[in-house]
Amino acid sequence: MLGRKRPGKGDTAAQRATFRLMYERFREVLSLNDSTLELIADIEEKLLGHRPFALDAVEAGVRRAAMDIFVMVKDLNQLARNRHVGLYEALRALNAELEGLFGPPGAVEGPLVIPISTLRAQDAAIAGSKMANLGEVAGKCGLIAPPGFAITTAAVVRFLAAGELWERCERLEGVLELDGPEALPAACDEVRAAILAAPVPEDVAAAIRDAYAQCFPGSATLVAVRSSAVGEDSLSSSHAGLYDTELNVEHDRLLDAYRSVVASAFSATAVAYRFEKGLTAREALMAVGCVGMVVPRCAGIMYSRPPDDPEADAVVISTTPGLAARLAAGDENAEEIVAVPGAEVYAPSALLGPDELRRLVNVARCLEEHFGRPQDVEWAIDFEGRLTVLQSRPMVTIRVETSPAVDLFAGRDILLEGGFTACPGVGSGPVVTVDGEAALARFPEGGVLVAKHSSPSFAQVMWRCAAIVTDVGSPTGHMASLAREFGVPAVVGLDGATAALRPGQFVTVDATGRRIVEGALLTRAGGRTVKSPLADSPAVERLRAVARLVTPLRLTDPASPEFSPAGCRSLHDITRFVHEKVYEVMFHYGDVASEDRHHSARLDARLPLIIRVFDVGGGIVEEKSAARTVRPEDVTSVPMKAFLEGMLEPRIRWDLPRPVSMRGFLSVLGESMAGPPAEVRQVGRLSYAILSDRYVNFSTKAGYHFSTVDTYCGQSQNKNYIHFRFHGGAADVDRRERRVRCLSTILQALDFEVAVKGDLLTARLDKYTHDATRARLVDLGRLTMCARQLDMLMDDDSRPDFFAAAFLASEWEKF
Amino acid sequence: MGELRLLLVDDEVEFLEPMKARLERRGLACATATSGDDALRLLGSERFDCAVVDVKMPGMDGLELLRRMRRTWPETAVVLLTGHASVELGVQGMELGAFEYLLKPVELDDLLDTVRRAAAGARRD
Repeated sequence: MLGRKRPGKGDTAAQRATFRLMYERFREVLSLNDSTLELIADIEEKLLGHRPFALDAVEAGVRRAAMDIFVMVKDLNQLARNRHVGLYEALRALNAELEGLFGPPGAVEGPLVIPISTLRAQDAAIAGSKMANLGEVAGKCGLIAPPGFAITTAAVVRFLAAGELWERCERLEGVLELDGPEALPAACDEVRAAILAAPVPEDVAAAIRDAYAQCFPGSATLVAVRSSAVGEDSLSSSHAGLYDTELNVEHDRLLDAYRSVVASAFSATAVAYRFEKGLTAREALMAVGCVGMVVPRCAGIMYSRPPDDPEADAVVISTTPGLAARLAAGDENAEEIVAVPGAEVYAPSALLGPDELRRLVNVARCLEEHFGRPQDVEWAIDFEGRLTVLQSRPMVTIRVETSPAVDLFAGRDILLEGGFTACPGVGSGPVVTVDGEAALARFPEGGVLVAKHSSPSFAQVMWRCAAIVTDVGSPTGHMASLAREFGVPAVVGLDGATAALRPGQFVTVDATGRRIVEGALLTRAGGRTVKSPLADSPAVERLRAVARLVTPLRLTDPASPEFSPAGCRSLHDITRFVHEKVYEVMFHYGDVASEDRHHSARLDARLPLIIRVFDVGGGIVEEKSAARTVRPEDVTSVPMKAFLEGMLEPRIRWDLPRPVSMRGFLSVLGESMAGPPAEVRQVGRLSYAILSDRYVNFSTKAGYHFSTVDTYCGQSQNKNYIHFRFHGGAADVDRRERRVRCLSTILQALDFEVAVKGDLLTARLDKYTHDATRARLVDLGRLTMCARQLDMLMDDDSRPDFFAAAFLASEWEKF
Repeated sequence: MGELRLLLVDDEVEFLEPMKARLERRGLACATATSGDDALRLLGSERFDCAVVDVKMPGMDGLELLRRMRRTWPETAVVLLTGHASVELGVQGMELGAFEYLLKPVELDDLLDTVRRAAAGARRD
């Protein structure tokens, strides 16, 4: 496999193909990584519950991402000689858990039908809350409920399993989200027509017939067939009037009525309602009630408390002669009575006597007590004076709107505007500029974190920041993802923020509107945003269960022992791991190149290095693609040109005698006698550049240090990066560490994120624009030349700062 | 290097025959099998550099065939080719030692490239 064997001599095409393949795999991993991070950002945004979304579409996205991640894991293992096979197991486990959450609901355990007389509250999951409550009414409250039975969700799952009906139902929300409301009615009509035409499975049909025969001996009784969906009648979403009820259904029309009620769950109105409420198709899993028709003298609805004043001790009753169906629909004038328990005289009523009113009030209180909250009750009284409870559900009280929609920013001076919303919301506090780990450690509670670039390390202080603003960064980056997890309002990529905002200055960040104003804004939750309307909706809850396996990032520190395949607890962790490791592989890309000197071109430049270039696509002008030597002007690779421009800086006089101190020289000699590492001698003084039009992997082993630059510089900012690694040297440890310190100071000043461990330095610059990345590569080219024998100049602890200052002041002659 | 000997295994004859024709036009020697058992019989009598195996087949599926091939003919590289994007099957395939996991439809050039690399790797081993 890749790089496993050294190809035989003369195998030019094969060698070139190996580089190209490695490069393509590497680019593939990076691009799949990007699309996965976009999905993660999308899920996190949806979890905030600001906007309704179609769960089905997110699930499809997660499935695609899992497959992409499989390809990433495979690519990495193929590049890294199966060094990370443990990732397969980590991915398999996560994928199995995810698959368990997706797709059509599994076969529901339980009977297909249940008589009302034996239904209890705990049956709500399969009989729907409406029917389960009715069972409670009859069985526990000692009240009268009509005879009948529930056709459970176990039955509807069986029914919809045929002919992919369920999948078609579930896709309707996606139609609404992706194709818009205009497309919905036609799609719904199609699905409903399919349901109405579908055969009811024989076992379900038989169960319905048997239950009818038991509840209503002789097949003459007319029944009402009504919806009792699983998520219906909940406190926050009443579904009032959304689903159909079929009245006066004759025995031989039972199955038609059943199909019709099931289909009513997929009307355009019902789908749009669920979508807006954050409910999913699973909340439309329809249990159906078949109850005997009552022939009432009068019927009605009552609220066990006044809806606009739920604390008051009163029952609000509305009644009408005959059936109350039209009353519920709102097209019948009714008598309205407010009955106060205990009062001797109730408001006069033409339909209800004082005794009947008293009984109704008692029923209302009894149900309220039983269910533990105010109830909305449907009832009927027949000609014998028998009071039947047709339905009891939690009452929806009127919510008082407390957040006036005013523009809090009106009339204020906007300090800065632009960038990208990483996490919406508003936060205010004093500006705290963060330029390294130390600043994070000191970060005060309630500060507005302002930094040049975004970094996952900010997670340490997110619980105490009011907002985050960065000059550079992407809304799909790790930090953005963490900000959403913590709910910290954050704007990234707001150019000039660090320059414009003074530490200590009090500002308000409107991350949603991407603007910053001076001063504080009074918002309720201490500068943070309030919970959004869909925050606890079933769609968000279900997505949260999925997201738990997708978005959390646990692997933040590559140096920690947790940073391993076994430590991966989410798809995000796996991509993070692969992303980190694939760069590690590319740092050794040059090693593969060094195994073969025959099939590269020599770069003929005035430099004290022998550079061999391998073009994997568009890095060298066409005419020279087969040449043995190429000149700098033949290089078409954007990042390589920039890097070379820096290396060829005429003011760096590597050709003149250098001011090397005797101590430095002796130190080098001393280390050399102790012996440089064997691999240094072996590798010699060659440098390798693997190029494409927008990519370079440049590794130098000249002198006694190793350095690698791996970079991509193109027009799409999110893909641009420079990764730089430097270590080794022939001088003593002190000098090497001083050199690393000097480089670190310079690179930090050039906006790199730098990590140092002993004499190993790694620096990264991610997601800068094409021009900024290019400019940094020129700097890095100069630095590479200046750093060559810098260790010899590092006589004492003042030298690192001295030379860093010289470099940054463009005094390259000093090196 | 000599002529590359390839075994194509797929229960869909409509896929198998045109693919064989296209690959042979590119200079590969191709044998075909429409089931796992069929493939095992051929492997018992001839040497192949590489086998391109469909994952979903009635009877012995591609993964089972892969498992047996790794045991008995480890010198023949196995490329899995499937119409079903499945993480689980992909993971199993790679863990069992497949050289590559490709999704249908596959570009002929990509398949050729993969097969050549697989065969080259297998020959050196």
